[in-house]
Amino acid sequence: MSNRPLQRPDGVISRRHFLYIAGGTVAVTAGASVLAACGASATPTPTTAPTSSPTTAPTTAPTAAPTGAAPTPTAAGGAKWAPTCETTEGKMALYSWAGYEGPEVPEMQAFWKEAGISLDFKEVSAVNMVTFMKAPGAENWDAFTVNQGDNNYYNAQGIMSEITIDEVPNLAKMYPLVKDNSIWKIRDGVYNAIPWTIGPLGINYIKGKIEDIKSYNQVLDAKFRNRVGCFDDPLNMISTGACAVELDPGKLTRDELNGPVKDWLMKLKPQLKVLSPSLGDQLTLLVQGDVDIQLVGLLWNIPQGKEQGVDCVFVYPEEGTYGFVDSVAITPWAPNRCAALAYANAVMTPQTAGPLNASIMGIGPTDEINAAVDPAVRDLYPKDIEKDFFGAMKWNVSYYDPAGPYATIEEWNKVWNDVKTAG
Amino acid sequence: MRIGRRLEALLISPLLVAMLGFIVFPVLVLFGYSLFAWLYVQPQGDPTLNNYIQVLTDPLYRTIAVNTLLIGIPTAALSVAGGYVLAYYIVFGGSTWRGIVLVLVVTALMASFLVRIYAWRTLLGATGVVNSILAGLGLVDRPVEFFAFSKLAAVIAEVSVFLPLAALTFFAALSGVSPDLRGAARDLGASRLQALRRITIPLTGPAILASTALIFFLSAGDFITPVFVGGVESVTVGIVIANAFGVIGNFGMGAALSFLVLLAFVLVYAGLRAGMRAGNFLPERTGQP
Repeated sequence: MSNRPLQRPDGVISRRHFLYIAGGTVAVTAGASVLAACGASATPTPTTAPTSSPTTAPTTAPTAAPTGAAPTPTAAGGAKWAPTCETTEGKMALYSWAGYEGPEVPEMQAFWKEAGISLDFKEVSAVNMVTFMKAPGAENWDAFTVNQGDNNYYNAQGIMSEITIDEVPNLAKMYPLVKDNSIWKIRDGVYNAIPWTIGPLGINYIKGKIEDIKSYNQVLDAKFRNRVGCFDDPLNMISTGACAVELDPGKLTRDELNGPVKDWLMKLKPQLKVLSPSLGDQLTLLVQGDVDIQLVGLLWNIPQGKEQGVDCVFVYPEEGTYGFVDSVAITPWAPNRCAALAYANAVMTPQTAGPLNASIMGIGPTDEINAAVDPAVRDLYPKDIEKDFFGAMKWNVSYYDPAGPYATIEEWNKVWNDVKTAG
Repeated sequence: MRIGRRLEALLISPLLVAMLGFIVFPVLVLFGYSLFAWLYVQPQGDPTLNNYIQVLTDPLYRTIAVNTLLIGIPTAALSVAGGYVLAYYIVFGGSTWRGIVLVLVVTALMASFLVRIYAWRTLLGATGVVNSILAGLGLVDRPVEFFAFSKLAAVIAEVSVFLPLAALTFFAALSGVSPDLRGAARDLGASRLQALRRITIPLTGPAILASTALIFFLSAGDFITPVFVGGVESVTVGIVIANAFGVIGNFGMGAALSFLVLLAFVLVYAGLRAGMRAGNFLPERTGQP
């Protein structure tokens, strides 16, 4: 018998060698995948829009048509929807709230077709919009929706381009209180966004279930202890508190925030049962009977409540209340600015803006638009919109400068957290 | 077969790369966030420990910590105790229902977490199943309010989610306990309870420790359940962290809070382990890994 050790036949891989090869292959593949993933996600944020400090002016956006020639109507209706553009055809990326593109509004669907726009719509909540605007991929945006509270801040961040009356002619027809408001107006004839849908926030309850509610302070009655719900959001709850003590949430100082506003919210605390994570959840709780009253109520809840078989009431509190104005803004780097301008014009044109506003229970910034809003919705607002609505409503603003005269959104959040955790 | 260190390193390297890339690196980035003041999704100024100092000194966060513990501790205790009993029955019980119970436990885990939490709202709400039954039986003339939107509701909902998880963990651990050991203990004069206390529980001690810690961490960090069913009195650390990141864009505060919670969890785990060792709920160290 031979004493030589067994030899592996030529060309045969041993188990050890196989494991070496397999492990090495997996390691290389995994490493390459990680590197590839890192590289793919490292898309730079837009460089054409400088991030400016709050004191610098926003970037001026190009307004002229590429050829410089007078625009002529095309088969896609370019000049009709965007007077300074030859064509509005192409893809448009719009980041906005749910329903703002009018998915079930025939007039809006007809507009998208007529303007030749292929809409890339992404639904983004208000709280996530800022995060999105700082993330890679933002350079693909053409337009987005911005609430009046964030207008000034977004503008200072350099993500909103200037829009002129030449580009959106119906801006000239807005009610003076909107047209001359520095939230949107940069200078005569130039705006940072198009304020197109407006609505109030107030109190909702089910008719007949409790006595009629007329004011915020009525909600503090002992009989409503542990029967009130609200939206768990500092912006809305501090605004509610400010209105309840007849202060302006758009100009709330630190003393006012930590004084009368916080005091009122502390009185409200024992009345609260549920803090809803969303505005929609508030109606659900009202319908299910878990609460009797909802603060941060919406007109929207009236038709929604009807669909669920309840008669939901909306009240403008006697102390006065605050509203929201949602605008469409166009980014300075918009790949298809003309399509974005077309959308901006559509939300300011009565034939399209009227039905669109009605679908979300809102009204517009001009008499012409509001005359085109469904009467069932229009009747929910005061007859004299300019005097009794715009003249009476308050508008909250989010401030971010800790050295400024008004309390910042972070200070609002601290106060709301203090109220929520108070014993 | 023993494998060499080089081969060992090679085989584990894909996992190491994944852990470094998807866990360690993001955690380091988050730590970096915590060292800056933030002005709505933008870091400002020089690195600072102000976020940590604010969390440790502001009474607000003490209240939030207490709320978190008042939900996390009962949830962990009830889930572990209930899960152990259930698993013990499945493994050692004599009934033919054991298999059915095991199937029910596994099935409970298949439903979406969010759906299960929302279902408790429907069950416990003013017009929910529980109140409807009570009213139908004439036991109450108005809905019982504290069932829903309270710390109790949050604990009930979380136990319903975590108890099956604990039961499955203990099922695996108890299955590994040889019946001969329990039999030998009984033969030597131990009662059922003594056999359980001195043989079965220490042998499953590591599983008890792991389950308790895991369920406490998950419960204390949960923000969906307190939001949906916890009501006004259940503002927990998870909600505050979510608000810091999602509502006010103060990534620094959110990150600092996250790291302090992580530190607290480490201390809780160490304390739990020490306590279980002191109470002889963990097997003695034998020097083997």
